[in-house]
Amino acid sequence: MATRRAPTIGIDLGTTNSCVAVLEQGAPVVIHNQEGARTTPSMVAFTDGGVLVGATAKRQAVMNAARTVFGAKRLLGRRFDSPEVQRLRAGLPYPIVRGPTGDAWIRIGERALSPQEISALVLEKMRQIAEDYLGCPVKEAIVTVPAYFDDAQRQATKDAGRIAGLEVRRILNEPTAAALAYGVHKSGHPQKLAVVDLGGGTFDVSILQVEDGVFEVLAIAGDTALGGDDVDRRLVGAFAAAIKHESGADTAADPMALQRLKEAAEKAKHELSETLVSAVNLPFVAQRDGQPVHFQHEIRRRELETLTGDLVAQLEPSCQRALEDARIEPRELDHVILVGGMTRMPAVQQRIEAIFGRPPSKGVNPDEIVAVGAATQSAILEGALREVVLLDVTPHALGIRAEGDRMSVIIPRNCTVPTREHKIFATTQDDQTLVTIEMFQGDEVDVRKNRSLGEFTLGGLPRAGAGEIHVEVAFTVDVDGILHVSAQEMATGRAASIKVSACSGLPPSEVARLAAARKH
Amino acid sequence: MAGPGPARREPRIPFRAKVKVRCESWDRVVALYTRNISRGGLFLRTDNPPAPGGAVLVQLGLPDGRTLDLAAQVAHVVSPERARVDGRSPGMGVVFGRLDDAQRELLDQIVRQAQSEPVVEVEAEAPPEPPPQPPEPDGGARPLEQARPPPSPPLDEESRKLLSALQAELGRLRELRPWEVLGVGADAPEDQIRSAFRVLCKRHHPDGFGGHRAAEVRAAASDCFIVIKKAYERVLALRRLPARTPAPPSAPAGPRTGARSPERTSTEPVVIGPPAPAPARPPRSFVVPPALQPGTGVHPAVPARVPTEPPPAPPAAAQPEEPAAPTAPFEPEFAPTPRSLSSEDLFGGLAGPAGRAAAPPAPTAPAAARPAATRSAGEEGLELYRAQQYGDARTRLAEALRRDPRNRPYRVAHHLSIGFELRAQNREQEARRQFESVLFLDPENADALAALRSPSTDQREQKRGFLKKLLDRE
Repeated sequence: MATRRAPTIGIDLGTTNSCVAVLEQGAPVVIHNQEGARTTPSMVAFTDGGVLVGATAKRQAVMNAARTVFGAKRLLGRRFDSPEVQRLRAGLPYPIVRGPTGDAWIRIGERALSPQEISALVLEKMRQIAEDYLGCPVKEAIVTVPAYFDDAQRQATKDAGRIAGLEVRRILNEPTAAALAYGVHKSGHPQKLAVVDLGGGTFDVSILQVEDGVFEVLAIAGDTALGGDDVDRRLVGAFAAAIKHESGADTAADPMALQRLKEAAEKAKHELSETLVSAVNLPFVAQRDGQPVHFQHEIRRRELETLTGDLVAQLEPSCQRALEDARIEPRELDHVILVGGMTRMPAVQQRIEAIFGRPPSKGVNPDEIVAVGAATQSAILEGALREVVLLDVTPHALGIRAEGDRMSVIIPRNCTVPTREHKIFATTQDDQTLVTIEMFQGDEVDVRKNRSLGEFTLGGLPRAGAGEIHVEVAFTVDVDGILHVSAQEMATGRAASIKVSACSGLPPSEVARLAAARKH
Repeated sequence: MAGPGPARREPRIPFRAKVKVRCESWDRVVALYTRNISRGGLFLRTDNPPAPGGAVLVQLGLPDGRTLDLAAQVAHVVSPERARVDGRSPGMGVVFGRLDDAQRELLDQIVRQAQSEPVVEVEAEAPPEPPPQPPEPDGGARPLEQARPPPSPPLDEESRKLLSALQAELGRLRELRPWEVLGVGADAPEDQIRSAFRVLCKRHHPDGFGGHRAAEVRAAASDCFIVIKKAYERVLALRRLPARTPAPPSAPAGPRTGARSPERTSTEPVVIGPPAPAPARPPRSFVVPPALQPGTGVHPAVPARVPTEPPPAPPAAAQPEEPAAPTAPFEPEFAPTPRSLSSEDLFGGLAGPAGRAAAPPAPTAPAAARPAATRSAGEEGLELYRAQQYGDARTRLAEALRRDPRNRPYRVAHHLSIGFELRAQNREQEARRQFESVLFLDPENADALAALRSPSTDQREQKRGFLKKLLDRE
């Protein structure tokens, strides 16, 4: 036992960059890393000399593109077959493969690694940064996720923490964390705010109402497959097309060229947030018939906006849906807070301003505010901040497959968590002794269009006529947004239950094994 | 029956019957068992009672096959927590709304009949014996406990105290009307409701217990919070209702019920009118409950059955047409499960494939061909049961049921045997579940009723005199 109890750190595990903060004497402090930066690239590189994480990984990415992983968050908790993953696969310098449970994994040389393990390396790095600063071991963390993350993605994040040797005390939604860090509760007046979070890989918008220190999320909407990465990819595509047009060289199959194009795209994107023109200069980017190909190009802000116009336009439906679900008008909002590096893009800011009819609030560092909020949440968990409570909601409707492939919704979306709902179902056949309960999330009436969360079976039902056996299905969503399902035959009390994420992702034994392996 | 229910004027008569019940917070019709009835209301057994004050629709079956639909209001509930402590049945007491003359007449008949109804012992009539079957999983003997985090690490003193305080609070909260949970009046203004909720959030949100590493404490806080949250949502919904959608003019006029034709389509939402001034009511003004969600018809007298064809291979393919959801209240909701379980079945008890696939080619075999062994095993089991040799009775009955799974008397006696065995082992809760499942099979079963009535493990309770006990009024 240390004389001083190690604090719980707050980690914003981002798609592109991660940030860690801790409470010191009640005030949140963003911790800078060994390089003096306040955010750390969420990149992991596997080299002959060992594993590199953060800025060092980023620096050598060009030389080692196929073994440098970035954006692993976009793969967390995703199935290999999902359209999002299939879309991502093209244009990534590292190969994505099907994991043993059907999840998307990453192949590095001979090994296949789960995104959880990659994220664990990033989390471990953030832990080290905090430990170096605090001078004591850190064991507990609050990790943030996009509000629109589903059950599998949340559980995968939690598993990543466990592999990194951290007990994740709470999975916190990024927009809620941002709202907490923004400090609206200190004003004393009831307020309504919109938090727009456009990060490297995800977009979500939350509408909150804050009064007497209670942060009540009224609605969440978003898209877990929309973010700055998509803008980069558009730029990379445009550059590659330009190279092909100019010299005929094909860069698509060359990981090193792709990595250089990606870096150039990121740089151009950042510059175009400040300036109207950005120059791209990539000597020896490819080869054509043994001749080196150089790429020199000027890109204008207007061109970027044309290239990404449809991506920016995708912000609007989610914002409108959130407003509708929250049943408020844009003019009722007191603040619009922007979170995530992508919100620096002028086109994004203009779009948000047009949607909500008010300029976004200034004075927020979109890269750090989420980690600050996560650190602040630790004070709530420790009972040091009694007057503040965060009430989050479920981002997706949750239900089961009923007869005729109908989605029978048990927990609607935007339901305050924790929550529990029961629904009673009847058998469909005489002498039916087992029912299979298949869980889905999504808003479609036809379950086949929704995302499957897994299934389990309740067997040993007493024999009886169709419809005579009633099974009560209970869905519980805990405060972290993780779903637990149980089913009970009402007459005999025969029950079965499952933590839904057990159907996919890493089995707990595997998480434990990896966690133990990391210690050595 | 404690509970803040209004004083009853009508005598309550023990009354066990399966009734169909629909309340606003459940989205489908559920079969529940009554425990008693009076001219003013009845008590329904359920582990998941809705909040008091809610509107319910109760459909009683009449001996002649007709049904009597009554609008009612939940007067009080007995939470499962309290039921455990007090050794009674969890459930809800409902008071009927205003009855018209025809309804009152029918209700009187039912109550009168309940008073005079002789209680029949389990009839052990010899059923026809089907051919042998693959062994059936012994479903009842090991009812799995409700999924709860296992209480593995021992709690320290402080956590234990906190846990029991939270559990007591939970039991208390569950029996309150939504606005009572929040501590506001039924007609409190919205800002008062919100502010009350915020205060309770700070007290009960599980994050406030984040410092307690014991998962049970956080889980209990979570449960409390869920009750509070639901009460809040409910009160807000009630509050907002008149402003948003004025109640249909017909709604307050009393129950839109009566023995009606089952063919009622429900393209229009069914509205449970607010219970009109019942004989005994809370003094507070009653808030108009919201309409039920659309798609919930008043139920036909006979549960709609879906053609029970063998399921097609993939559940998605070629289902018989969807049983028009809104019209069939008892519409079977589970997709059939054609796949068979592997032998490493979740429950360990299922040998071989289960489900439809496992069903025997039973119905075609002529009765004469059935081995006499079945009957004797079943009969022997019943004998043993009557002789209170429950262990042996269970074995024999299980054997008989394996061959003849649809034999109700055997099934009933089997559950009873298990129940009494469990009770003898002081596993009261499990025993009760057995008896309750008997009531599902046979709502009038005297042994089960008597067994459920006596929560004690006193051996005397198990012995004779069930009939006599049944005559005792609760």
